[in-house]
Amino acid sequence: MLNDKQIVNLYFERNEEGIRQTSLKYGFRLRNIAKGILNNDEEVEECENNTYIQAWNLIPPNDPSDYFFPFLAKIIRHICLDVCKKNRSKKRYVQYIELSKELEECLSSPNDVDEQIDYIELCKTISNFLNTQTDEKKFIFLRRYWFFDNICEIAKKAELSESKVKATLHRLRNELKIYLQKEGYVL
Amino acid sequence: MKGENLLLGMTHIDNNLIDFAESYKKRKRTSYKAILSIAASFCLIMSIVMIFATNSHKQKYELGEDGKINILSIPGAIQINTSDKVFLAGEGDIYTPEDFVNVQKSNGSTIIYGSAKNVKTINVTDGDLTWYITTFEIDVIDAIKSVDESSTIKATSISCYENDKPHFIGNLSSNIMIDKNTTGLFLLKSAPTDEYEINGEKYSADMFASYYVMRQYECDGKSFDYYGTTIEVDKLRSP
Repeated sequence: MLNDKQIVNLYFERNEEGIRQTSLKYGFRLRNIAKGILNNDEEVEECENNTYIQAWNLIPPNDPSDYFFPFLAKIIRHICLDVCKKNRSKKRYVQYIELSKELEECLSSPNDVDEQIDYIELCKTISNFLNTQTDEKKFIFLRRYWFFDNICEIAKKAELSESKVKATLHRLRNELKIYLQKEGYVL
Repeated sequence: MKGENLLLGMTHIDNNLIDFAESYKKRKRTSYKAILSIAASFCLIMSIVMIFATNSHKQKYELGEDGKINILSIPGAIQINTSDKVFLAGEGDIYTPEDFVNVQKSNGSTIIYGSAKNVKTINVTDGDLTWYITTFEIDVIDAIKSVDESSTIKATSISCYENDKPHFIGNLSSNIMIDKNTTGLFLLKSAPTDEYEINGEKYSADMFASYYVMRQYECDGKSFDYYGTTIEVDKLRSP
């Protein structure tokens, strides 16, 4: 199996073998992310293929050889969330709304100022916040709000009780709210 | 909706965090349950060992129905005749006859005119030391002081010799002559609890009998000879 640098080079060479190698190396993990958000095999497959196409279009000019998997993961997450938003009637959309509401607890302003927020900058601040947390807390937060895992799955993966996971998430949201306020996000 | 946008915006989170959450393996914490189980098992094993050791210790000799040690079962015990050198003939304190009477009346001794039976004597060699332990029963003929006339009491004597010379470990001495005359006047006291170590095991006189024999006098039941002076037994009776 090729390493990330070799695969990315294939993209630079416009060699479609790059996509095959990407699928071979990361297909399974990417599908898992998509399944977490969509839970529909057809949509998952479509999102995976769209991810490779988008990667093909983004490389070059981007060179993600040092962070190839996170690069692909972000693409598939973005695509999946778009699909999720479009299919509002589907069951998975309920979880999407649920998680949105949970995260909204971290932001205290009325909705009408929403457009003023630079969410990319905000995510950097959230990254900094998470980097101050223990591995366990970091893992729980990310699995919930980045990978869309349900509480039961997180509890299993973290070898914790569901109540402990819920309590940890609740505390993390409160801590994040305070952290964001301190960082000037009086939203 | 802010939360929704934040959820979408989080896509741009730090690459390292995505890698971390993908590859996170919970570090195995020390399981307190496991530690407790191990500790409990250890305690159980230790308890079993202790019980075994304690029982092994107790089983080094037999106890009679009265809870006293059967001296014949003491490790290394050799049964000997009472006519052999068994009883230390130490004189102890010698009083004038009057003082002797007064001391015996006022101290905590037990005085019996009686007859010895079931005499058992052993010796145990421990390096240069030789221990002589004797147990016997005395049928009370006349309860002179501090004992029930109808009873039979169990008594003991312990002597120690080093290279055939008396060795006063524990300051106990007996001067008895049951090998010559089983009936006589016996001066007894409560068996002391002072411990003597014999071949690594600790023994005390009260482990063999309730009474320790200090002295036996030749007596006809009415009087006895005390260093050439005849003393009436009645003079020793409890008031």
